[in-house]
Amino acid sequence: MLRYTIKRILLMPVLLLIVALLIYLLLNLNGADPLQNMLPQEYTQEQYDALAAKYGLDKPILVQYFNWIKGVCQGNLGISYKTRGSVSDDVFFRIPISLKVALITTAFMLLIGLPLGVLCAVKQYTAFDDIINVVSKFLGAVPSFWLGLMLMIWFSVGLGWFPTYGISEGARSYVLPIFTLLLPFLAQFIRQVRSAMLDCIRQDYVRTARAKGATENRVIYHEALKNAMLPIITFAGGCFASMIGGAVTVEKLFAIPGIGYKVVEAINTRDIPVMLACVLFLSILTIVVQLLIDLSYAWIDPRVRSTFVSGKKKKAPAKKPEEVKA
Amino acid sequence: MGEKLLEIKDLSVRYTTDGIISRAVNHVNLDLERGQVLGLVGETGAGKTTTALTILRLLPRYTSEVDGEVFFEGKDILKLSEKEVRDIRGQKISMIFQDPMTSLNPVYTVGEQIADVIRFHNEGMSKEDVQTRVDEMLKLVGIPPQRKTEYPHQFSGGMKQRVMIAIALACNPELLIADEPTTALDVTIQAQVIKMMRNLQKELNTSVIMITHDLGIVANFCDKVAIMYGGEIVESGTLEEVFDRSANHHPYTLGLFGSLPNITERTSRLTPITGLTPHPSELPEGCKFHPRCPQCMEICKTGDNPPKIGTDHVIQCHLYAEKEA
Amino acid sequence: MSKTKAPRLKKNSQAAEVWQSLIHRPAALIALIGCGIILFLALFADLLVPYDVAIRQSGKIKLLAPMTTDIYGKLHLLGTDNLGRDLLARVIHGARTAMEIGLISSLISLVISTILACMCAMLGGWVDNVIMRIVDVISCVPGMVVALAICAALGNGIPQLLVALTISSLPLHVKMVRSVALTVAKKDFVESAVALGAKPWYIMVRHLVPNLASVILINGTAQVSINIMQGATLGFIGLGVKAPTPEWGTMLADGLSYTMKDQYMVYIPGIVLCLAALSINTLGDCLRDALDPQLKGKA
Repeated sequence: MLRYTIKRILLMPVLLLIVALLIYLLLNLNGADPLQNMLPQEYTQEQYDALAAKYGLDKPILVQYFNWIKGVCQGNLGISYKTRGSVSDDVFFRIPISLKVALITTAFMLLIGLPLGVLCAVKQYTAFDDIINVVSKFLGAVPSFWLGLMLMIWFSVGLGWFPTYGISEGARSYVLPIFTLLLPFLAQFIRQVRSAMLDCIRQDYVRTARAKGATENRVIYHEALKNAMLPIITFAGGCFASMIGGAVTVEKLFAIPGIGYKVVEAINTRDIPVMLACVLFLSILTIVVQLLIDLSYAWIDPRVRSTFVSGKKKKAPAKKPEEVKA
Repeated sequence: MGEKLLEIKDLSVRYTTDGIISRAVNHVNLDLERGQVLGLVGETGAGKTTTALTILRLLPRYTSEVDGEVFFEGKDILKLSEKEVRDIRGQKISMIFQDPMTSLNPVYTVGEQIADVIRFHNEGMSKEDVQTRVDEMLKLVGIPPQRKTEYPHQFSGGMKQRVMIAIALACNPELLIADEPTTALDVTIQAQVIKMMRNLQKELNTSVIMITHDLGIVANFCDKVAIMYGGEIVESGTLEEVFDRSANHHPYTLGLFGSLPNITERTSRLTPITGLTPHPSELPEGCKFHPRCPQCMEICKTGDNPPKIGTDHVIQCHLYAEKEA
Repeated sequence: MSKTKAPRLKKNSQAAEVWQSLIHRPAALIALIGCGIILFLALFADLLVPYDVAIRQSGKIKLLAPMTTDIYGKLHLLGTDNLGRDLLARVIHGARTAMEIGLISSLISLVISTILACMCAMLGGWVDNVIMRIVDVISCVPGMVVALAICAALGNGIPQLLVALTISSLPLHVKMVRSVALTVAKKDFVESAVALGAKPWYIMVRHLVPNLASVILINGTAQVSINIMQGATLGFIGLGVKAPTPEWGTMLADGLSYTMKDQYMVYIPGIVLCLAALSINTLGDCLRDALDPQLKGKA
């Protein structure tokens, strides 16, 4: 177990380096010259060269890449093309904001989605299930940014309950963004929970449990749900990763100063160092989440766990044909 | 021998899926006394499993309909409340299923799953007592008690089935229903498991309904035999009566015995029963076996079911009706 | 000898059966009609409304509410936008854009991922490893961010958008199709084919792909709607199609400034997007239900 975890953790930087390289190449090889924007209308070659040297842009691409990586390891994320200030200053304070939004949304998704999904599975042929199904289909089809706009129109502009942008009003300013991010994911999550539960309820071991005299509640929560948690958790983790990406639109819409907002801004202004830093952070987050999901698998499913118990092999009792009582 | 333990009267079960009605069980009558072992024989699709599931009311709620009565210790199970049925399950009547690979919950240890059934029916029991009983049961089925902390996937098929038996017998039930318990196992393991079940049955005086298509197991284990076809019991009697070659038998029974390869004779071809088992949604008219019966007569093809002839050794066939008349 | 009644064999082809089950369910029927309408609009956009009407700007007739007649006497069913362009025309041509984005990128993504997945399943070994590592790298970054980065690098426009969407949807597809392909590849009939000396390509096309058809179809329909949405989202952010190409997402972005007044600028593209997504998603769900029993081998 430990060995597997360590192996995965060691793989992370490798993956990140490759991702960083690809993004670096991608963004820098399209011919656009950031220096053009920074120089006055007419400039001399010396001015150009001086600026290039200042930003290290006079060196070949791969060298630039290595310099950047070196910088990152030392905590220096470079200088923003736009603000000329340190990228770290620009980016770090946004991390907790984006994380807050994603984590709270995920928490709500689990808190609301799990019970509803299980109930739907249990009440499969009833009106309850049908209604929730239809509602989640609708919610799943609504584009999140439009939903955000609608909520803004109704609740911000219309009723004035929440601010339309920014985070200046504390908790209230997070309500609409979180809600907007939450609803589409919640819809999918409920259906996923329902489907996973239905699969488990059909299994033979549920029949065995009933034959033992278990109550329906026990069958559902103790026998079926634990097995359903595996696909559910994978899905939830995938949702969290998507939320990080999906937060981009929500942040732009509600002007929440998070990483997603910055990414969009950086892309529009071709501010490559900032873009790189943001993408790097987002990738780290995604990899960590994936790792956590895999580990949780091992925690829940003993079959997975025993595959990874390495090193100390349990002394299996010598398997002689068992003596049956005469 | 006193009051019968189990009496099934005129039981019929219909499944409805996608508009198609399958008549899985048709007017079945069975009875069983304490300490007796009944062998329920038939091919796949004959209705044996459905009959068994009906006794414990384990049929799917929305797609099945049941008519008839199932008396256990004098009470009709079909009319009991959910709670009363739950009390019976695992405690008075236990069932073990065909596929041990999927019948155990993979995320809980074997010990926990045995302890479950003990705790369901013994609310006040202390943890130590429960564990003692778990150890007892494991020893009873020949598994070292230390292995109770292991998970199902760490056991072989035969051992998983023994765990199932341990679960089934943990509360000392009056009746054990075994639905083809050895079909999914290797032949050598089959013999072990059957031998173990036989010994346990004798020791605990449990009644058993052994569902199987293997006549060898029946010969080894059962006191009574009932042969099912198309959801009906076409022949029933004691082991001796049904296995007696010189007696009268239902043509299906004859077919079953006839299709067994004989280890002492040399033959170049086996003698199967021609045709295929009918699907419960497409049962033939008249006698359900008539399309495949080598002795089919005109009267067999239409009308009601053939009459049941005999008192202890009962055969449902027109052949013997004529003779009697 | 009495004849045995042979079991009734189902003679319909799988496609015909799926079609039958689809048109008999009301939800599926409505979804089919919805998708049909979108496809129709997409295919015949030019015949219905000239493209010119969708992009021609005119200061004099801007921001007319739906169902108003302008000063030239033309009735605008859905009104006009802030640049005087008829919204109905933009919606219809937007359908074409959406279909181009959604269908083409899904198709390409599906073809590539099927080929890759089959290669993983059939060839295994280092091929499988390499492909999966590449997929892992791409899936390190959230899909939206991948699309963003590619759009940022390549600029605006439909071809660039297609590339971005294809690449960002590859990891999920490859993983899903590969897992099914691996299961199929382990089946006995594949082993027999190998034992008979069949070449990997032959096995891939003859045995693997038909069995993957269900997965591909279900994932494909889901992906079409996801890609349309992502395209719209990118358009909303400002990447994606080049102005003045009508696209529902960019239309919504235009509507951002109209949350207080002229709110139809927000409602109309949004509702259209919703309806499109709903139709495609529902169709996908019904397809999954129709194909599922066959996937699981029930009658």
